[in-house]
Amino acid sequence: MSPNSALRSSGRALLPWLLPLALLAAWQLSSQLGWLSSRVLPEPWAVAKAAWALAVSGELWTHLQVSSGRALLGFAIGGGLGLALGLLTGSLRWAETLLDSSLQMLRNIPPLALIPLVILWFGIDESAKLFLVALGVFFPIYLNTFHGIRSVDAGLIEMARSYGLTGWRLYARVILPGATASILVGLRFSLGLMWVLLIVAETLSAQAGIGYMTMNAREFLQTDVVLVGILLYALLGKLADLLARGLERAWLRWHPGYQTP
Amino acid sequence: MIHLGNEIEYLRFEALSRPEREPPAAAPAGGLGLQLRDLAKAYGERQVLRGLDLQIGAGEFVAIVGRSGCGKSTLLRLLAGLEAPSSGAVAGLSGAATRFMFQEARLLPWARVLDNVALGLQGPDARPRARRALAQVGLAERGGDWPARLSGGQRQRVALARALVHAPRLLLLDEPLGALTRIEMQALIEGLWLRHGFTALLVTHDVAEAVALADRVLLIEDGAVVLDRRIALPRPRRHGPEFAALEQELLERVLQKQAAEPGQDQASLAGLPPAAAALRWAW
Repeated sequence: MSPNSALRSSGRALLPWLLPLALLAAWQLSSQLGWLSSRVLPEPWAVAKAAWALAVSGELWTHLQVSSGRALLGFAIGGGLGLALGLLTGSLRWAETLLDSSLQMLRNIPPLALIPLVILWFGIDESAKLFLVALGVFFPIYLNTFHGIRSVDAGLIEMARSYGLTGWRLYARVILPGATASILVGLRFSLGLMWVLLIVAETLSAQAGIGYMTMNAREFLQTDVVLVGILLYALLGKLADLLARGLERAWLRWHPGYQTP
Repeated sequence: MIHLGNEIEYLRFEALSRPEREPPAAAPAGGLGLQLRDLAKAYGERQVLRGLDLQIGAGEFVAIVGRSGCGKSTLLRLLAGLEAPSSGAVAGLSGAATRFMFQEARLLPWARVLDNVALGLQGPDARPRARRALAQVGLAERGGDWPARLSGGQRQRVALARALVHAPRLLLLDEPLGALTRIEMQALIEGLWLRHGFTALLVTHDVAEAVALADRVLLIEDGAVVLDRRIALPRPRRHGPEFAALEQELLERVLQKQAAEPGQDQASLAGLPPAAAALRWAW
């Protein structure tokens, strides 16, 4: 590699970072020059300091743990149910006839529209937040699982049957692997929704969690802490997406579209 | 076929170094003999097969030719148990001893080549057996690959290995030979048939292919067998005057119907030179 092309390739690697870094610099500068009030937006340095202080005091980790716990538990409940029902309605005609039209009706209700009802049912404690998250992640997983099962190549199923595969073996060797790509699409959708719903649920009312931390900071006009909370959500969302991509790469290794070059 | 290099050398060895095969009467006990009695299939109003009566000897290689939609593929699907006949019966069938090679390879894309070949096998010797079958089609080194990495012809050979690993007594082939890999697949299938002695039923569009491989060529028109021609040429068959005469005779018989029944195909076929050896006359 000539020095010229090395320079060019490192330049290409840096290019996506140019705009965020310039914005950060402009932000820091305008705060320091007093153009931007710290009530509107604290300077980046102050946000970093606030994050550090929260991390050292241990407060940050407690909130992070509580929020992640909620998100994952709600996801496990809603996603697990969505997967199970999707597999059921996708595989059995009578289950589709029985359940699918009702589920399609419920799907059209935005989960956030249910907040008043949820508060009446569960009050404002833990189960209300779990319910909202679970409800939100249920539908993307359910729909994509159903679709994945139904779009498995019928020719492959016919082939496998004629080679003596039936019941569970047919399911494990042909139907489930055939539906995996679609199920993972549902997973990525629902991971995105999971954080959205958690944020709303936590800002509604909570005694701990990132949402609680930011709402609390708002009352005391600690904009730097509010920003730490927002950035944490961004980070967690990115992490969840990376996880989903990792699963895609592991489970769809056979797929030309997912092979790492 | 020169450009295929080593692969084709291997195939020649498979096909040509086998001893001359006895006529079908003395076929090995491995093949399944079939007796079709008044076999019919209808989809709603449409009668696809009308009362076929047919005897297929054990170990026989039968090629079935006919126009698209004549019912030849349906016959194969009935014998494979993929569909049930509307009436009639087939004596001698055994589902477990029958394997079907589809027009497309139908490999599981999420299973490695070796696992595809081992599909449906059970027990500790499944993988060694799959490995041996893969070696028989000349793909021993590709066992660890994903099917997406293989060429179309290689996929068909994996599908052939997958069928053979079950030591079928009846092999049903529904036009599995792609245009580009036709010659090498023909040699491969003939070699394996000579070695294993299964009964083979091949549906094909290609009269030359039928003459090259089959002991018997059946022509199906409108759901009925209208021609049952024995091919007594010695194996391995090479193109020569006898071969060409048989091919010409069959081709003329096949086209006769189309000429009598003016259709969209007729005009394009009228001007074809007789030398169109691998003429695909049904679209």
